[in-house]
Amino acid sequence: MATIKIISFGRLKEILGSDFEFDAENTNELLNQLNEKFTQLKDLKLRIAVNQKIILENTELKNSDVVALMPPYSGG
Amino acid sequence: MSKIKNIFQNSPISPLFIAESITKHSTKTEIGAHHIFLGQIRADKVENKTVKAIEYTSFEDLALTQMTAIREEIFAKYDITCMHIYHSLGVVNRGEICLFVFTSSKHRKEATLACNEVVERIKNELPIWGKEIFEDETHQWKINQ
Repeated sequence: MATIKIISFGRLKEILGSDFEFDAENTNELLNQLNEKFTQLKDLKLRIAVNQKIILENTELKNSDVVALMPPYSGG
Repeated sequence: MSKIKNIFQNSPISPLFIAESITKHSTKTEIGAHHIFLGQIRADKVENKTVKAIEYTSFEDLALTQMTAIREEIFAKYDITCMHIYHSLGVVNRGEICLFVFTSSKHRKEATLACNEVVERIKNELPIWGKEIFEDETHQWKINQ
């Protein structure tokens, strides 16, 4: 189990609030737990970056990893 | 990877700044064509409400890393002389400019293609979010078309 820091953006930040620490072994487990805790997350598409690298598959987490949760981009 | 350049301005992009950017290129006489894209905040109507501004936020470190990679790919793909990109953060009112992309090349085709591609990639690949603020101070999150 790793203690990681969660940061979020845009609409997700409205749901999750300011940055916080969380315990999880990998990104899938993290998402499952967050979905249980924050039911509004369910219908949202999100992209995940671990330590500023976008991940596409389940990823093991280490202590003090920074996990960014990002809704669809809407720049420009 | 090449040096990371900032693209963000904590304000709208001023027309004067755009004019000055163009002026700076007058000494680069190998250039024969400029292509400029300007994104402007539109007063969209949603039901009975009208957008008065968009507030932009970004995951800046990741956005700048991604932008550096995109910049390298664009330079590898197109024969352009230079490329400048500025994106606003914070509140930009309707009618104001939030994105300025400026490419230059010897002949027009390369600058045009490079500019169009980089605008698409900015919208699709950079972690930037727009919050559309209505006149009554309620908001919705922008969705890119």
